[in-house]
Order: sequence, then structure tokens, then C-alpha cells
Amino acid sequence: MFHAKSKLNILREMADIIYTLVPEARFDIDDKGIHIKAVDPSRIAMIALDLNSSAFEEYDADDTSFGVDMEKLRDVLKLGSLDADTTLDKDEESNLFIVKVGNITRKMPLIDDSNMTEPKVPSLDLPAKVIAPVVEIKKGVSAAKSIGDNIILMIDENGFDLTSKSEGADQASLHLSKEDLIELDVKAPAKSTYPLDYFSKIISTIKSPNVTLKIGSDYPLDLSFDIASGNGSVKYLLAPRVENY
Amino acid sequence: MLYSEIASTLKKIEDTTKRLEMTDHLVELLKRTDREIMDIVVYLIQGKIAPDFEGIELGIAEKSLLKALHMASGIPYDEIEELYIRHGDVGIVAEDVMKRKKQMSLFSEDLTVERVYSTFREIAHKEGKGTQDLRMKMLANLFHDAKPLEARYLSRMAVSRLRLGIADMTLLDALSIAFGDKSERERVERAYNIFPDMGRIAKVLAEKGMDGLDEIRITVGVPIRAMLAERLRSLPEIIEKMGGKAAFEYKYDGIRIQAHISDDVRLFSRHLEDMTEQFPDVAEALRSAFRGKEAIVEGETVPVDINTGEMLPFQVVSHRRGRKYGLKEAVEDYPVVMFLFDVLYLDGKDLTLMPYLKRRDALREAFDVSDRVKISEVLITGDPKAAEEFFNEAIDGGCEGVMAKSISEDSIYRAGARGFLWIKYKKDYRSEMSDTVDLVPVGAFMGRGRRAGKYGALLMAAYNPDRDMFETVCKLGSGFTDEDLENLPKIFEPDVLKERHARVDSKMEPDVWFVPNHVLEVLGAEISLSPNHTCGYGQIKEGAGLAIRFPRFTGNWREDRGPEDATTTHEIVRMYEMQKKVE
Repeated sequence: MFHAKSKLNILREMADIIYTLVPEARFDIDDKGIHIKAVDPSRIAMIALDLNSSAFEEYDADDTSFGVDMEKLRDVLKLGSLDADTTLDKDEESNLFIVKVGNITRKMPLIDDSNMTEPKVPSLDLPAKVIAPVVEIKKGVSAAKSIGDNIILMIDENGFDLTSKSEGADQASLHLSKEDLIELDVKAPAKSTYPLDYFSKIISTIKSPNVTLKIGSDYPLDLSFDIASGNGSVKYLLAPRVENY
Repeated sequence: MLYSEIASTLKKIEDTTKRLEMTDHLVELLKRTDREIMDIVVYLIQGKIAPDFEGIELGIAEKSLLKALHMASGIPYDEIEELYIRHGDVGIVAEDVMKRKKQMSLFSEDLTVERVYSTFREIAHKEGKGTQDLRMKMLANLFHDAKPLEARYLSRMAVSRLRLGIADMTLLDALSIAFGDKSERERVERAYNIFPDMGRIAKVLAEKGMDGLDEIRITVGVPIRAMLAERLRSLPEIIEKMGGKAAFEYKYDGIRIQAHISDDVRLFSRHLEDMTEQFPDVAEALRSAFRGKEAIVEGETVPVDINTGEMLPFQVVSHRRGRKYGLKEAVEDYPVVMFLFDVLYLDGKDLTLMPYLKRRDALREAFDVSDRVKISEVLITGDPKAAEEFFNEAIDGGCEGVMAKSISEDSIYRAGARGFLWIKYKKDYRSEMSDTVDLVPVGAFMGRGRRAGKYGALLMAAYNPDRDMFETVCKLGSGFTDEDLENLPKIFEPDVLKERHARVDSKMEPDVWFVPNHVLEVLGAEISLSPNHTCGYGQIKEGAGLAIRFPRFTGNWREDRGPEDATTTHEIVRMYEMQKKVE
């Protein structure tokens, strides 16, 4: 069985994050909370999200897993105010996922999750790490958007740089010095290029004040942040763009 | 099996023009293929995911494919689009782009034949809003693991343009050599003609050898390849060819339909497309007129005037094709009559090897004629005068001519073949161009006077499958309604190019060029030699191609047809020759 109750904003945050990558996702449920792992269909990015039971006012679950249509879930979560009471239930008999938002009840069929295989998470040893204020990163992304479809991330002893270059001479960059950062940890300086649309989509969903970015040179980006005011976390991996790959 | 094996075979086939060598390469691939995946491999080498009659289309637009290439490579979209305009071939673009790929994936997977097939199946089954992005990402997923050559064929397959000229006939050659020997070619072809699913045939052969073909039988629900007629120029000639006597049937001016009747009814076009949805009334009428349990019959569906009961031109019916909305109204406003002319299968019995006259008898007995289901008019005669009179009656009644059929004992239904057992004779053979043609707009000239600011004429082309090029054959300016003219620029807007598309061969310079995409039905007065058009250039006379004179749009947008289904250069050349003979 599965029953959980919380405020709408907690669930909307989760649904928005998952929907940046996949239209359907498998919810793995245990007594600790909801766990979702998903790879975007083009294998450029993946996500591992944990929403702890402490994020819920009521939480009652046996180990179970089921597939959910994220688009339907997002649609029903638009129907209430951010603090609306929201419940999630899995009805074992009818095999339905039942979402109640305020006075609205939305029942949806569960999706067969037998084809949604557990993605293998590549193990990465990334030498450069920063913890940065999200508000600054968001500004950097806005500045980059009109320039090109790549962003270059760079971390060295002087801090963190986010740069976008056009084919011509247009360029926009964000520099965060050591003082601007919450943490700077450089075993070796690193620089990688990533697709901007993926980066900007995930950044735009972050509600937490800080985000951790780990990179290597021509390596995937490992991006992590808290959700549900610290009662959950997200780890996001994004494959790089490499010259002469 | 890795997809690279298919890609390298396709490459070898592309690099040769000799059919025998193509066959050898195919045989070699088939022999290496595990029998479990024989059907998949055969579909993929033809760029398909299912036999045509299942109607499962990939439906990936060029632009989506280019976006997938952008996503998988990290090369800017604008650059990829420019490459496409320059080459006109998504395959070349994909190959080039993948050589310069920047975008990595998080992990790699083998690009197996099974994976390619199941991904394409999945893409085909994703429909509806919001799936565009998902379909594109699923394609990008394949490209991540594709080498440049593999990307070439994957992308051509994605937009249904594998264009290798692996004709069914070549594949049948290869199948008979790979699983038997050349002498058994006819058996394989017969199986294919009555069950046109190349994958299934290949799998049966791989698993059970030639004798496995015995289990391929005519099956209700699986269309049989249509028997086709030859043409001759005069009735006496036809009677002579038929051995002094023949059956003449009205040749109704409608749409030929092969109906598969059981508890439900499925209708197929001559090109084996499922048309059941467009003709619910025909399906229902057939079911209630049929006395037996199961049958496969052929007939011509003809629209009739709701008030007078007279036959109407078939264009009226073609308005139903491809229609999702307003079909109910179309059915009510333009009722159709099905004129049955043959029966191929009846309650468990294959009748295709039964002589024509016996099949006619069986057909007559199996149906109760009604307002909606009739049996075609027939006259058996050896007298050219009587035949001529019958022909004139047919024309008066709104038919396009007569179909002569052999009444000899060996007059079987030869599925998938064109031969002299059936000979058509149509009214236009004598002077004018024999048929309408389906042509592809490849550009437009801006209008003058009343048409200022709109298109004045479209540059139309026929398709040359040997060169995979569109060759121009006329400028089309008449036959358009004011409303058409108003809408043309909007209709072609997504196809407009600044430069000539690489698959278009033209000596003329229109004001705008189009991606060859649409097909229009055109009626012309005659075909003449012209130095300005490239259709069949140099084939009849050095320095001249063929042009259609006084072309006129019939009002029929052939939305059911892709540009490669347009009238071919070869057909235009034949029409020209035919016209010459008549003169």
C-alpha cells in the first residue's frame, strides 16, 4: 500500500524536476520515502531523486513500485494553491494512482513499469567542486541563453566561470569568486562544455538556495541540490560536449 | 546482430548499379542472419518496420530528424539545416554530422538490429501531442551509438527515404538463392504475391526452407497483390489477342478496392493501403450483401449522385481519402456503389487458380445485389462491333472504358502480375493523354495581374526512381480555384527553399523552390518534346525532355501519396510512345 499527504508545492517541485527529463517515471516506494531514477530518452542526462517520508504530514507505505504519467500528475497539481492539502494513494485493487488536491480527485491508471529499467549510474571521480548560490547561476544562464546553445563551465583556484560563446564574437560569462561561493574545492582545475537547454531546464526547477556542481575536464556534470526544504535531494548528471570526440 | 552489418550491406548495395551484385550482397547478409531475427533484418534492409499493408508509418518529419541530429551531435541546428538544404539527403547530412559529433552520452549501448527495430516501432506507436519531443529524443538515443555510416541509413529510414532501389523483386531473388536456389524463385514470388509480407516469408524460409512456403496461404485480412491489366489500342486487336472471344466488363471510374469480409470487413487499395476507415458504408453494405462467412473480393467503388443515381467522377470519392473529420457528411452526400468484378477466396477456398468464368459464377452466387453492392456489367463476345457498342454504352454511363478478360481455362487470377489475360481499353487512348498524372510541385513562379502577390504557376515534376530525382515536366497554372490560389503560399510555406532542392533536376528557374513533398493530380492534353523540361531528358531525342501540354489541376490533392509515389518519368515516356503509336 501507499498513502502520503503533504502540501501541493512539495509535490509540484518533484513533478517539475522529473518532467524536465521524462514524461513517465517509476516511483520506487519504501518506508524512507519516494525514490525516482530516470534517464532522459536520449541518454544525455539522468536524474536520481529522493523525497523523504519526513517531507510528508502523513506517510504510510509498504515497499512497492509503479509507473506514473508525469504529465497527468503535473496537470492535476496545477489545480490548487501552493499550500493546498494534497494526497497520493495507490489503489491496489483497481491499479489506479489517486491524487487529491483540495476538493479535486484525479484517478489515473498506473503505467506498466516492467520496461523502465533501473539506469546504471556511472561512477565518476570529479576533481573540481563548488557550492554556489542558485540565484547567481540563474542569472548566468539568462545571460548565456541569447548567445549560443553551449555553456562552458570552468572551476579553478580563482572560482567558478560559466561562459557562452557564439559563432561570432558574442560572449557572455558569469564569474563567481571564492568569496561569492559557499564552498570551493579544487583537486585539479577543470573545464567542460554542456548543452545549454538541459542545463537551463534543470536549473530553473531549483527551489533550494544553493546548488553543488562537480566537474572534470570533458566529463559529465554532477549537479545536486536539496528539495522539500531539505527533506529530499536530487542528483543530476549531464553528459558533456567534447571536441574531436 | 549489430546494425553495422546491415549498414555495410546497404553501403555495398548503394555502391553498385548491377542488380546481380545487389542480390549477392543481400544473399550474403541473409545467410549470416540468425533465423530468430530474419524478419526484422528483412524489414530493416527495406527501411520498414512492418509490411506496408499494416499501415504503420514512422512519420518522422525531416525537421524532427535534423533536431535529433543536433541533439545527438551538439552541432548547431542552423548548420545542420544548411547542410540539408545543400545536399537534400538526410543520410549524407547525418553521416557528416556524426563524424564531427561533440555531444557524449552518459553511457553507451550496442546498436543492435533488435534495438533499432524496437526503437522505430516504439516511435511509430507514440502518437499525439507532446510526443514530438520524445520521438526526437528516442532517435537521438540511437544516433549516440551510431557510427557515421550507420547514421546515414538510420536517418534515411527515419524519414522513409532509404532510396536504394532494393526492389521487392531483387529481394525475392535473394531469398530464393539464400534458402534454396534460383529455380525456386517463382514459388517464393507466388507466396509473396498472395501474402505480401517480406519479413514473414523470409522467416518461414529461414525456419523451414522452401517447403515452409506451403503454409503461406491466402489469408482474410492480408491483402493479395492486385492483378494488373495490359493496354491495347483497339478492340479488334484485343479480341485477336484473346483468341477470338473475350469477356468485356465495364471499367468503372472509381477506386479499386479489395475487400476482405469475415465478421468484420477490411478494405485495401490497389497499393495495399488499408482504406476501411474512409469507406464504412462500403464495408457495411458488403457484409450484408454477402451470403457466406468469409471472402476476398475485388470491385470498383464509384460515387453516385444522391438525387439522380448517376455515376459521378471518382474525384468525388477521393475527397474522402485521408479525411478524419466530416467523413460522416461525405458519406451521406456522396454515397458510393461497389461494383464487384472478382472473387479470390470464398469460405475456406482459394479461388485464384480457378478460371475467370468460374470465378464470375461463384461471385454471382455469393452476393445478393443491392443498391450499394452490384456485380460489374459484362458481355462475352468475339464481335468487334458488339464490343464497340458495349464500350460506347460504358462511356455513356460514365465509365472510363472496358476491361477485356480472357475466358480461357488458364485465365487465372495472377496476383501481382501485369499480363494479357486482362486488357484495358479506355476512351482517351485515341487522341488525348491517356490518364491523369500525379505530379510533384518543386517550385513556383510569382503571379502577375490578378494573381500578383500570389503564385502564378507551379513548376511540376515527375519522379525518376532510377536517379531518385524529380524531373520537371510542366508549369501548372490552370484548374485552381480562387480559394486554392489564395491558400497556395500558405500550404507551401513549410517547404519553401531559397535554392533548388538537391533532388530536383530543372532547367527553369522559378521564383521560389520547394522541398518535394506534395502530390497533385494533373490532366494534360498531350505530351510533347521540350528543351525546357528535364523529364526523360535525352531519352526520346537528344537535347529534349518531355513536357505535358495544357496541364490542368483536377482539384485533387493526392494527400495519400508521397512524392516518390508520383507518376514516374518512365510512365511519362511510355505515355508519349503510346500517343505516337496512336497517331
